[in-house]
Amino acid sequence: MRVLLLLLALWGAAPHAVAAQTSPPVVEQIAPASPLPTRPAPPRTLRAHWHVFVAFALAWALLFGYVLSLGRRFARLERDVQGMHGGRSS
Amino acid sequence: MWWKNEEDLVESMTGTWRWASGLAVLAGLGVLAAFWMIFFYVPTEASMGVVQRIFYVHVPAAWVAFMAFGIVALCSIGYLWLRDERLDAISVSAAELGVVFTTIVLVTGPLWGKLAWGAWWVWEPRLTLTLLLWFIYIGYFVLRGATDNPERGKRFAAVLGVVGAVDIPLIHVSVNWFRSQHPQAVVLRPEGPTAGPEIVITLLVSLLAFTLTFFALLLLRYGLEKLRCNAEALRFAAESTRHATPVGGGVG
Amino acid sequence: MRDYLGHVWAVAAKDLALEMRSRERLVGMGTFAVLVAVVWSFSLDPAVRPRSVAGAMIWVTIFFAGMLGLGRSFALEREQEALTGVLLAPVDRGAIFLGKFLANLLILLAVEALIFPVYGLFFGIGLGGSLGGVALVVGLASVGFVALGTLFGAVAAHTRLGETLLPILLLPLLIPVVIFGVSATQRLLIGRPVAEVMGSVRMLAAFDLIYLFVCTLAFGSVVEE
Repeated sequence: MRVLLLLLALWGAAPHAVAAQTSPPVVEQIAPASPLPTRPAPPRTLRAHWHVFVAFALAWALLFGYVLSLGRRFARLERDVQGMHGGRSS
Repeated sequence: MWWKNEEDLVESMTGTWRWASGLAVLAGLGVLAAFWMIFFYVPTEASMGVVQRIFYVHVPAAWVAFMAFGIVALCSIGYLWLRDERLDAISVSAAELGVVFTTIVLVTGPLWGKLAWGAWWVWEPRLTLTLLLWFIYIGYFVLRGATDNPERGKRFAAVLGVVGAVDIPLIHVSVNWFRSQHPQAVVLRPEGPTAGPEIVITLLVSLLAFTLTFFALLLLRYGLEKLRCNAEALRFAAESTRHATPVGGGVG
Repeated sequence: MRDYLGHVWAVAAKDLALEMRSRERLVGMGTFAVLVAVVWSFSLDPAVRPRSVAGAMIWVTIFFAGMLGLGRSFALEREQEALTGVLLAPVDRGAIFLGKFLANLLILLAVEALIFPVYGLFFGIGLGGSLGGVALVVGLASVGFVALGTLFGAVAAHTRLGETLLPILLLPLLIPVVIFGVSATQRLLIGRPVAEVMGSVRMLAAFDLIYLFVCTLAFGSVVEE
């Protein structure tokens, strides 16, 4: 029964697969990798504001994140050095 | 070691802090001024609309990222030549900031490009160059992290810094040539034909603010590196005394 | 000068003799290249004519096969502590670099001499009637590739990550060679005249000189201890 189903499925799928393989026409030239549109898209205002907001938010988030990471590293070093001094004196 | 004793270290750290905090105040003022100008002073650019304001972050970040790489290159050459630990500390600090600012460029660029070019990413020469710069920076840190011997790590990183510095102009020439093979629309420049004096002034103020921020952060990171080396030296000294004690039969 | 060239050749001859005895790099790289050709044949859409992407296919294969070999170049030395012996010899570090470079280049050229016929056979790529032009472009691009690859192979071999690190360091720096080498090869393979790629050839030659000069100088800082 299972074999029968499998055969049925194959029979159904095979012509599509063959068709899919043969159908695309032979492309003669290489498509350009990334065509830049010749004209900038018209400014869509709401979308544009959203993009500006995200750009500024991400830029400043990155900078503040870096400053925070600097602070954390300072704190950890401070603790390490304190610990070492404590270990030495005791 | 770059310091003679504890007092020398404390003194030089105090100097670093003083400079860093002074620069940080200036940078903060510059950033506030730039912000005000970007959002209230400068008029919306005619052909591109409001997205053009991204440029006031994008261009200064790119400038700072490439300047950081220049500093890495110079200090790397200096390190290989003079073997001065301070030069390596500046290289690491500049490279780390370079990663941060290059990331800002790579994040803000596509946000603008999606609206201006209709695609998140295009293989535009300057974008490609920045992406490769980012990868070189990443390689710099992977390389440092993957060497067990710290002295060797510094040396290898400096070699990468020097070779990268030679290679970046070559990459620039190549990607420009590659693009010129495929005729494209001229990429709109921020100071294009419609750039008024307000746009130029805002861009300059923003450039100044970013540069000040960069140097303030560079000094902070440099101070951190100095402390880290100090902690490393202390740990090394502690380890060696602990190992030495049983052999010497009790030193204290 | 004569001495210097003698040292270069001595180091290269040592590496080549080692390779001739074990053949592990040639066999590894060659087998890899042919297998990649098989992978290409199944991953390309039947609608794409192999000739229009021949340059890309061949160069991607060369770069990856080359990196396989370059990673081994110094790993072998490190495993057997052979580099220490070489470094103890009273030879200029630049000469050692050029020797390693020469050996790696000859091995890569041998693999390329296999890659081109294999790809020609599998994908019906002719050499466009300009064997000399293709050889010139491929040779020049290989020089730049191997110069950078030998330097960073030495760097990567002395790290914890080893050969894994090599592509991360090498590929971004390799872009100029990729751009000019691949585009010139592609043009020649689709039958354009050699005169059309002379600009690329000149650029590649200039890059080679710069890379060789910088890498020879930098190598001294990599291996000193």
